[in-house]
This record gives sequence, structure tokens and C-alpha cells, in this order.
Amino acid sequence: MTRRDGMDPRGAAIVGMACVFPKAPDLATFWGNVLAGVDAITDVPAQRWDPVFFDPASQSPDRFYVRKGGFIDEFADFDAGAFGIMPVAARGAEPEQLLALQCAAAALKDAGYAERDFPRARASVILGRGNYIGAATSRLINITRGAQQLVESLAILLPELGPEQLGALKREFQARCGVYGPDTAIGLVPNLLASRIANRLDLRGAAYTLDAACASALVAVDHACRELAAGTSDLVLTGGVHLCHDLVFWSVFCQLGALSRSERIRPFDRRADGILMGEGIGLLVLKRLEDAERDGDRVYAVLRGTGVSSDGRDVSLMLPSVEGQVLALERAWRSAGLEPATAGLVEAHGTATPAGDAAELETLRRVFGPADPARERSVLGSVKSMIGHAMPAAGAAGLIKAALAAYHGVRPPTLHCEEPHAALEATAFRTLPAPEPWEAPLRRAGVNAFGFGGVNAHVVLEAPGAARADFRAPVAEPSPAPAALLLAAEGPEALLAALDAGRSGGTGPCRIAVLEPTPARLASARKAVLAGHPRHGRDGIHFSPRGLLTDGGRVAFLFPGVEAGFEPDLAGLPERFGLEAPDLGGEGLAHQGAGVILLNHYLARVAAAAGLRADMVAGHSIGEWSAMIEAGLFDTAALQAFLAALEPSMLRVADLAYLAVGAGADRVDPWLEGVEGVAVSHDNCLHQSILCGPEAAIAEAARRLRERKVLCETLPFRSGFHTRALEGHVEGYLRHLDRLELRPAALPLWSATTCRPYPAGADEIRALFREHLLEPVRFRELLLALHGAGARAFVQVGTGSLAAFASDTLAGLPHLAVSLQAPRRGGLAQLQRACAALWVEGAEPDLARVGLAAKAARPLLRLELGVPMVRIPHPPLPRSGPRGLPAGLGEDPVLRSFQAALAELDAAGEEVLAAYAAQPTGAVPPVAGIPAAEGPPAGIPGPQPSAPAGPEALEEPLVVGLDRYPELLDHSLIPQAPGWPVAADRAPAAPMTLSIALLMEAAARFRPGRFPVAVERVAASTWLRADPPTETRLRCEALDADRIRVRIEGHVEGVVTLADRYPDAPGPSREGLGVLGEFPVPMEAVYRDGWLFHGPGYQGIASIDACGERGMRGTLRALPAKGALLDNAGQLLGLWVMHTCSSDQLAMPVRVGRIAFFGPDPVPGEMLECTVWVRSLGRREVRADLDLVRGGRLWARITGWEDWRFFTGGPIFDVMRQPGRYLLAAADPEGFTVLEDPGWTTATLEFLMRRFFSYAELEALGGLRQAQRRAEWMYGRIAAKDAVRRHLFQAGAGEVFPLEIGIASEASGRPRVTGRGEGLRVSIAHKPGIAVALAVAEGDPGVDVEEVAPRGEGFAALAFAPEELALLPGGDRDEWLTRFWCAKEAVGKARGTGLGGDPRSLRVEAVEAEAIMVSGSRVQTRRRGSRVVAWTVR
Amino acid sequence: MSTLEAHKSEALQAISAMVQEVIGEEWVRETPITLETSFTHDLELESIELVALSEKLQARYGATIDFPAWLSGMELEQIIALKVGDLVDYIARCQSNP
Repeated sequence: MTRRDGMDPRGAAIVGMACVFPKAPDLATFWGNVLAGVDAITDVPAQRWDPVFFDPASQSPDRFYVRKGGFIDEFADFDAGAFGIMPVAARGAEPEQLLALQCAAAALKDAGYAERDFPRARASVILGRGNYIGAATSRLINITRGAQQLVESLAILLPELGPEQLGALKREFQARCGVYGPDTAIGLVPNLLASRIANRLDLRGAAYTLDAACASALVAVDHACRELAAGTSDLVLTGGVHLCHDLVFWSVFCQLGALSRSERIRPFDRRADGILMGEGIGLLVLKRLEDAERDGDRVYAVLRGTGVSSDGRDVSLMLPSVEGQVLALERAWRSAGLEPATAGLVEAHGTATPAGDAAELETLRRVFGPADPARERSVLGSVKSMIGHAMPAAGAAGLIKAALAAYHGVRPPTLHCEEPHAALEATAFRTLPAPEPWEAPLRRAGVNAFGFGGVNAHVVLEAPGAARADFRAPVAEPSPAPAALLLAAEGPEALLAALDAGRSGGTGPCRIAVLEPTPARLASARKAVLAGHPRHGRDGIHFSPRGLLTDGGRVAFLFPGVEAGFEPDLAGLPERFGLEAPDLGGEGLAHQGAGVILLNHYLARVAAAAGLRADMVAGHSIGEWSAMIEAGLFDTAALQAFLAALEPSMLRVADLAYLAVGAGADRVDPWLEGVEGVAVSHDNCLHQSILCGPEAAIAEAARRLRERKVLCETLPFRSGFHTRALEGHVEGYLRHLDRLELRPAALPLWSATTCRPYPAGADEIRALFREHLLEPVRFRELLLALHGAGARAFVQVGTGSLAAFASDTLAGLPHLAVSLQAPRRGGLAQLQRACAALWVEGAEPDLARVGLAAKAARPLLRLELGVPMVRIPHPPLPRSGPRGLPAGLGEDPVLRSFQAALAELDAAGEEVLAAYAAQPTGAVPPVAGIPAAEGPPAGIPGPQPSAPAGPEALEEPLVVGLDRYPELLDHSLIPQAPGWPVAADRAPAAPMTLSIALLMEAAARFRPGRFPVAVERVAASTWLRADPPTETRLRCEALDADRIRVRIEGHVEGVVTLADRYPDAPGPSREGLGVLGEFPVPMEAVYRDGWLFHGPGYQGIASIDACGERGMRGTLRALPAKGALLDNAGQLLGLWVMHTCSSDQLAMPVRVGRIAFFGPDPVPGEMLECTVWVRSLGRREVRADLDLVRGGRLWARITGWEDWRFFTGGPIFDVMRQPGRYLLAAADPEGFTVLEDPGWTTATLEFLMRRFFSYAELEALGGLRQAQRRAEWMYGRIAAKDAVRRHLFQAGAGEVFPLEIGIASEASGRPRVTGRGEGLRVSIAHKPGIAVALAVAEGDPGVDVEEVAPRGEGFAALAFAPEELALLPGGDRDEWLTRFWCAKEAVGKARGTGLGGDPRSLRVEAVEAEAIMVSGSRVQTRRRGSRVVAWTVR
Repeated sequence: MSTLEAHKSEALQAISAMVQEVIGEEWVRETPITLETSFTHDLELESIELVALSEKLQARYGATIDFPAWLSGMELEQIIALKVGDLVDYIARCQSNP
């Protein structure tokens, strides 16, 4: 065999690897286990196959005589969120697809491609995979055939079982088999193993699986090397995957007698009696060696040659053939151009079957020569002795082992080979009981993999040569170890176990953080957990047996004012958070004051970036101004006003001195009797207060205090703040403050003057500004008040002593006080400490962002690799559908009639719902036998028949716009590029819950003095858009004394119940949520990654606390935006739908049956618990009931909340979420884009069009409705924008939003690209139901699409000359006439002339396959369904 | 043992107990406080805690010592570098030369 042409003679480089094998979740552990000789064989886990199948005495095909093997169940954790796969799809897919995807990402990361990019367009995926049955397919067999078999057998055995019982049993059985449905079916297609990787990692070379039984992985490697050698790929991800311990598979191997009866796999040992089955995934990233050298890759090993053979017509399909194996080995060494005798290591197939070992040893003797006493024996090994036989993945395990052996210069041991096979002696090999250094200058190895049926593969590899040793350092350095160990658990015992295991992670209220975990510190941490006492970090350990914030404790941010020293240390913060440090330079009090304000603001931004959230804010002295800004009382423009107020000229006003005293204000007072003009200006804490007064008086006070041995110190600045002496000097400040526009605070803001929250009214607030300047700072009392209001964590956001004040004052009370700044400790280091301390108490800072964790802890989805026995608890009862009767009661006549009554009731209920849904007004028509609409809530007088008190009706204009509701920008339906200037293009719109608030407010105005306690029958019809503002009318109409129908014309309506007081709240419901699971998307990603589109003003979900099959529970933070709280409740439902459904995940509220309120609206910052119970999930709608609970008491109960689900099939969901990243049109490999109309509904179409066309564009077309009539034209524009975007993506652009691209028309009619992509040339064609577009960088393109239709001879004669018609190929004449026509059209468009009414002005000159030459231009054509597409090529 | 040494030994014990009370954390009990222990670096004592310690010292030793006066004679750097041993010496000195 000759060397392949074009191959780098030096071979293919392994530049990255990743694997999962028994007892090895990753590459490093695998190699460690190989060296340490870890035997990874265990008993089969019960969830893989049930112990009932083990019976060594039985010959039955469903009984197995072995129960040991290699299993990876414990590592089957999938990070669904990281790959954008929703859990329902993940649970239903073949687990091998998902774990291989995760492993592929790890292999590319190992190759250094986590940060840098690589030519994805020229990257292929070629994987060995046996066509065996996977777990998900096996479950589907149970759901289909198994379920039917079960009920048919039961029907024969137990004839008394009626169809209902059998139906219920079948449904129960099927439900317990696992997840399956239209959303998950695709996950069972076997080749998706490769395709899913290509899809999720955006690889565009070949992607396929191949099956060569146990040789699969190495045959895949052979294919990969060919791809590289041929130059058709620049990078190939290859290897083998095998996750199969199916009963069928075991049965085959038991019947063949291939499994080891001694339950030990001993390759090349004379006692070997068969295999044990393993499993795993082994992946390698290959590149041409020259490319790897050029790119500075780390090279583990170089593949020098591969060889594949079949046994041909040999002895048996089952028995190995020495001749066939020899052929493969010889081919590999010949293709490498190397001598086999130079191999220092051979990783054998080594199955440990007597026949297999004997044949392989003979093969080795023939290829590598017999034993030679003059030479050292080479080493023979088999990793199967450790992990079992991983079947199609076995070759990958062997290859990875051999590559690492060559790379590290160590020859690893083989287990259980204490008594070598007699034939080993005759070979040139020996086996090793322990690892041995491999110091040869040339480390070369061969790897075998032989498959059933006689397919043999061999790979020759060697360590990268000495000349290559001076490469750049490995690019894939492990990320620096996080500076801390952070562990969470449910209780101390579990925490202790986690601490001993030493791995960060876990969930629960019992938490510990160990910074720079030295052994001594870890030992101390262990003691802390055992003792159960909290630690507060002075020795680098933070520990809380039960976090202070877990049971509703709150976080208070404290902003310092001016103190004696000001030495901020921001080291590390600007780099980590990308926030430029403020200029804090300058000397003197004025500069220091300004510096404090700027620093506080900077640190507040850092805290937000670090994921620290305040539940309440307060400040000390002028730090209160910072608190005002961070609470949102002012916008950040206020910063400038405050800084101006601190101008030097405004300071020395009263020229009074300050004395810091080491004693509380109460103790100081009596000592100062007779000292005139001295007052306590700051009561800081138990052990500190500050006095203010004229210099001489202060000196006298200091003298007296020192006499009493009280510490005191004159402060290095003077003014007169917080004393009455400042009166008359404050107007300057107040002028600055009065200029500022007040906004409602988004967070509870506390005053150190009153020790209460700030008042709500603007006048009261402004009055407090003055008092704040003149009155003492009562910080000690404030701290106690905050504690009383639930604050448990006090965070000092700035430099100074506030955290110390808190610790001092609150000593003995449960609390945590931390500071974001500490003297002489870098800014980042101190932030990390603070975050660790807060995390331990139950806060959820972004640990990865602050550098405390390698990556954000994300709940992983544990995949089920097996098919556990379905065991239905007895007796089976109907789960759903029509109500049935308990088994055995079916004949009871009373129950029969009861059942009939129930069925009637069900039918009637359906009728009500159907009628209700059909009614635009939401009014419920009466139905016989069903009680009328719910009565008034308890505690409210029932409807009075008397005349309504007040006018009958009211009508007033209503304008909803951004002027009035600027927060609606955060409720924008369409994502646009950052900084996109036109608000209307974002389609800001009122959430339905804002409309509900407006309905309630209107009713309250209509009947002054009473207030709304419930709203019912809310039905929304169209979005209430805010830009341009919606102008409509609001009408109130009294239904009776208490109930008002309110309608926002054209948009929404509902019935509001008024009362004089709130009804008594029933207890919160204790109803469960069904089987609980993990919500897979981390909370911080929910808004950030567009799972929910809401901006900050509506981001009120603070946490998701439980996620079940029947609903969800979360914590909501009340926000100032009107309607935000109820909208957040609806968001929880939306998340549940996304979690549960893998298509049509977008759900928006349209109706509400009833909302009853049992108390006033929560104030911003209040936390509520919200539970969603899903009552029905239909294809187009979902209905739910919700409870909102505040402090353990029900605040609102919502029944009959209904969301509509929007169609999001195909690419739509991605395009909706991230229109800047995803194409709507399909990208044809030839370069054009195609948009075919799958019959989108108007609502979907509207969503899409708003993402592709600006508001102005749509208006120019006569509005959205009008524009939709020009659907084809629109599709053409979408296809063109996507053609341009695809071009830009391929050129490396990150995000390109459709609105950033304009498609204008030149006078000639030719489309022209404006905006991003300007300069590209496009051509567009559209016909009913389809549009095609082509974008190119150079020259003018032409594209056309036509329906293939019968074309008469008249058409042919008109359009083509006889010479042209003579060129028509045989076959479908109509199709070829259409192709010719399309080709001419495409050329006409490219030339800008069109056909000009004269189709014969252009001439078909030649046809080659599907390419057509038209007047010197080349056109490619393609049949696509019923149509033909033609496009010009250069 | 000389009187001075006896005073020192007693002072170290007393200061250890006071520091533990002021800091109020379990771990201090595990960590032996020695003459070399630094208030700022090892114990991370906040200035307020220094005040609380000062109160406890005055309460125990009364007029024998004047902790505030002693501190006020120091530069900031000295205070930062202050070790338990310095305080022990001061107290023992005051007790030996009343």
C-alpha cells in the first residue's frame, strides 16, 4: 500500500482529548486511574438493569450469569443550560447524544478552543458508534409495544378489568416509562450523535457515525485522518461512543458465552475466561501536524499511520482471524513508512477471551517479530483490564491511553495478568504490573481494535519529536484554581461529607467558605462544622450552620460618609468587572467628600455586577446621599448635583471641630455638663460617638474625656454638619437638592435622622433633606431599627467603619457585618471575602464573576442511562382523562350512576370553558346545572339589588406611552442591538398586568372612597403599545353596587369588585407541585440570556425555589413599575412552560378568571412567595392558579390565569430570543438563503416581522396589517437580510440584528444593501410561499425561483430559440424548461437588465449537469421540491 | 519568677480572654494568642473593637493604666504594628511602677 497523496508525511496531530469512562469523569482522572491501576469494575447499578435478571444457573435468554461491568452512571450529568437544550428534550433524548456533546465541548476546550476560534466551516465530526439500542429507544419500546402487551395480557388474565382500568393502567405504565412525545422524538435518531455535536458547536464539515463493531473508534480515526490528508477538513473531532447496557445487549453476550464467569477481565492471563462489558466516551481532536505546529497547539501525539482490513472469506464470522489482523497492522505500519519493531508499546485489543487473546498474540508475533534475547521486550497492555470492554468506544480508550503514555513518557500497567498466557513468551512483548518510565528518545506505539464479523483496525502513533518540544506552552492551561472552597448542604453532616470530598458546590442553607484552603485551614473548617458555631472569616473561614438570609433575613447596604481616613483600594476591580475606576484624586474635605460619593457609587456598581442585591439601603451622614441615588430616588445625574454641593466654598460654613469619642452618646452626655456649644453630632455605635463644637469647647471636652480614660481623637476636618449651628448655611445645599427630580424609590431607603424609612410624599422627602443636614446622625438606633425590620446582613459599600459600627451595636444579635473595602487589602480580595461571607449566609452572589468559583454552579441534569423496571404502586388509579372508578367497584350500580354524573359534569365544564374562551368580553353564559359565577369574596357584602351608588357609567381618554410609563422600555417585546436609537423598534408594550392595574385604578376613581379587592374576567385582545403612544378610551360601567365593568377600548377589559375593606385572607394553599426537578437555567441567566425578555424594571423573580411537574414556586421582589409584581408571577408560569415544553415555549397572558386581593399592594423591595399550579396544558394555551404570599399571609390569589402559547417551531424560538444571532431563513450550503412559509399564524408573523422591519419601514408599507398582505415581498426582504447576515457571521461578526441592515431599491429596481453589510451585493427572488436571496462581496449576483409547471410548446418557442431547445437534456421536460427560464432570469438580474420582455435576448449556450451557461455567464440550478432555484456563480 | 514576669504572664492571660470576648468567635479559642500576635494582622481587630478592649482593660486595671493616653502617644503605623506583647509590657510596667 502506498502512502496517501496529500497527507502531511508526518501525520495527524492529536491536539485535544476528553473522555468519560468507568470511574473517570474526565481525561485527567482517566490517566490517573490508568497509572494507579484502578479497577473500575463494579456490580451493575440497579437502575441499569434490575437485579431480577441475574441468575447464574439459568440458561434462559433473559437471565444473565454475570453482574459485573464498567458503568458511568455517576457521571451522566448534563449541563442542559450550557447547550441551550431544554430539559424535557434532554430527558427524552438518547443520553449518549448529550454526554457526547458535552465531551466534545470538553475535547475542544482541551485543545484550547474555549477562548480562541477555529475554522468551524472546515471541522468534521466522525464517531464510531454501534447500532445498538439506546436507553431512550428502549423506553420507547416499552411505551409502544410493552404497554400494549401488558394490557392485553392483563385483559386475558383478569377479564373483570374494564377498558377504563386497563386504559388507566396503560397510561400509568407509559407515564412511568419516561418522557416521550413530538418534542423529544428527534432525540432518538441514532446519527444525531454526530449531528447534534455539529449543530450545537456549529461545525460544518462532515458529521456522521459509523459502525465497525468493536473496531468502530479506530475506523473513525482512520476516516478522520483521510479527511485531513485529503484537505477536505482542517479539524476532525473523532473517537468512539458506547453507552449501552441494554438487556438485549447483555442477552446476546451471555448467549454467546463471551462474558467472564469468574467476573474478572484478565487480558493475556492464562486464566482469562471472557470479557466484562464496559462503556464510555473517548474523543480526540485531530489536525494536520503542520497546522498544529503553525497554530502553536499542544500535541499529545502524532498519528503516523492507520490500517483497516476485513477477514474476508475466513473461518467464521465469530472467530478472530490472524490473517485479517496481520493485514490491518501491516497496512498501518506501511502507511506510516515505519518499522513495526520500533514500537515500544502496543495497546492491544486484549478482550480476555481465550480465542481472542491467542489470535492477537499470534498476530503480534508475526508483525512485530518473535522474542529476541538481544533486545528489550516492548510493553503490551490492555485498558480493558481496568474499565472492561467499551465495545465501539474501546479503540478510543486504548488510543487515548497510548497517546498519553507517549506524551508523558510512562508505560502503564495492565491488571490481573499475574500468570501470563503461554503464547506471550514467544512474542517480543511483556506486560507490566506497575507503571514504568518510558525514556526512549523515540516513543512509538501501536493500538489495536478488532470487531465482530472480522473488521480490524490499527493505528501507529508517536510522541511529538524532540524538534517539536520547544512549542509554545499548552494553550489549554487549566483555569487558575479558584481562591476558595465553597460548599453548601442541607445540614452539617452532609456539609462535613462534602468538605471531606473537597469539591465546591452543592445546595442548601448550611454553608461554608474556606478562602485559600490550606490543610490547616481545612482542618479548622472541619472543627467549625463539627462544633456548629458560625465563623465570620477572620481566619479565612466563613461558616453558617443555617444562613441568616435563608429564612427571610434581609440585606442592608450601608453607605459611609466622610471619616477620618479615606484610603480606597480598588486593586483588581476595574479589570475584573470592566468598570473604570473613578478619579478620586485631590486633597481636603471637599475632595474627600466628592471622593466618598464617587467611590460609593462605583462600589454599588461593582456590587451589582457581583450579583449582590440590597433589600434596603441607608447611609451615614452624606453617605445617605449615596443611599438615595442607589435606591433610585434620584437618577445618577444627581451625582453631579451632590458633587457640586460639596464645592470647597460651600464647606467651612460653620467652622466647627469634631471629636471622635470612644464611648456611646448616652455615656458621653453627662460628662460634658457645662461645656458650652458642644453637641453629639453622630451617635455611631455602642462604643463610638462624635461631638461637634467650637474648637476651644472641643478641646475642653477632649480634656475631660481623657481624664476619664476615654479614648478620643480630634478629626482632621471642620464643618458643622448635623448640628443646629449649620442652620442658615444649608440653603446652598438645598438649592442643589431641590433641582433634582424625585422618583419613587425602588428600594426601601432608611433615614438616619428619623431611623425610619423615607416618607413617600415629595414635600416630606424634601423637608427631610434639611433635617438630615441639621440633626444628629442616629446611626446606632438606625442599625437597631434595620435589624428590627429584618436586616440580617449589613454590607458596607465604601471605606470606613460602618460594618464595625454594626458589629458593635448588634453584638449578641444574629447578624453579619461585612465591608466591600478594607484597609491594606486589595479591592477584589476584599470583595471576594464579602461575597464569601454573604454567600454563606444564603445570598447568591455571582461566584464565578468575583473569582470565587471556576464557573457558576449550575444545576446539572442527571440523565438516566438505564431503563428501570416500571413498578406501579397498587392499586392503579386513573391519573387523568375521564374520571374512572377504583378497580373492583365497576359493577356497583350506584357508583355507575355517580360516574355518569361526573362525566356529565366534566362535559358541562368543558362547555363553560369553551364558551368562555369564545366570548370576547369574557362573560360566562349560564349553563344548566352549573352554579353561576363565583360570589363575592368572604367578608364583602354580596351584590346589592339596590341602585348603584354613583353614576351609571364613566368614559375618559387614556394615553399609554413612554412619557407616562418610561419603565415600559423594560417591557419591550423585540430585542434590538445595544444602543439602538428607535424605541418604537423595540415595541415597548404594557404587560397585561399593567392594564389590570389601570382597570382597578379606574374603578376606584369611579367610586371614590372604596377600593378594589378583586378583578375578574380579564380578557386582553391586542397589545397596548407604548411607542408610539396608544390613545384610547377607558369606560367604566356599574354592574351593581360593588362591581364595575372597566374596558380599555380595543385592548382589555375586566370586572372590578370594590369594597370598604379587604376580605380576610384564607390560609395559603399547601397543595404540592408534583415530582420536583431542577430548573436548569441559572437564575442570573434567565433574564440575561433572553429566556425572559424583560428589562430590569420587570426583573422581579429573585429566585426559583421549586420546580415540579405541576408547577413552580419562586420568590418575587416587588418592583416600582406598575403591574410588575403580577407580571413576575406570570413570568414564573412562562418559565414553567419553557421548562416543560420543547416547542411553542413562548407563552403570554391573555385572560384571568379572577384575582382576589387580601391586603394593600406590597411596597417596592418587599419579597413575596409565589406558587404557580398548572391546571391544564393544551397545545395553544395553558391555565394556572397562583398564590402570592407575603410574610406567610396570602396577599393575592389568582384563579384561571391563561397564557396563550405562541408557535415557535423550527428556528423561530431562537430568532425570537436572540434575533441578532439566529437566521430565520434557511442557509443553503451553496450560499443562498431560502424562506418558505410554513403557514405561520398572524401572531407569529407579527412577531417575526417586527424583528426584521423597523417601525418606520412597516408604517411606510401602510402598517403591519397592510404589510402582511405583501407577504412575499416581505419574505424576500427577510431572505435578503439573512443572506447579508450570514455573510457577516461567516466573516466573524458576533451579533447582527436584522434592523441594522437596510435593503433599499435602486432606480433600476436592483436591491441595495445599506447599514451593516453595505457594499455587499444582493439579489432577491420570490414566488408565492417562497423567497430566495443571495449576497456576495464581489460582482453582481442573480437568483431566481420558479414553480415547475407544465409549459406548453408556445412558451418554449417564445422563450427559447431552437438551438437552445436542442440543449434540453432528457428527462422531465417541464423541469428543464423551468431551469432554463430561471437561469436566464438569474443572469438578467445579475446584469441589471432583466429579460426586458425579450427572453431571447439571453441565450442558453451549454448545459453541464445542473449548471447552465447563459450568454457567457454560469448559472447553477437546483430542483427544490416543486420548484427550481437558479443562481449565478463566479 | 520575678514580679514583672508574673505580671506579664497574668496580663497575657487576661488580654487573651478579653480579646476572645471582644471578637466573640469560636476560632480565637483554638488559636493561641501569644506575645507575637498582632492586633491588626493576626486578629484583624477593628478600631471599635480596640475601644471595647480599652473599656475592658480600664475595668480590670482601673487607674493603674491609662490605655488611651498610651495609645495617643503613638503614630498610626505604630498602632497598626501593635502586638499583644507590647500591651502586656505596658501593663506589666504600669503594675510594677505604680
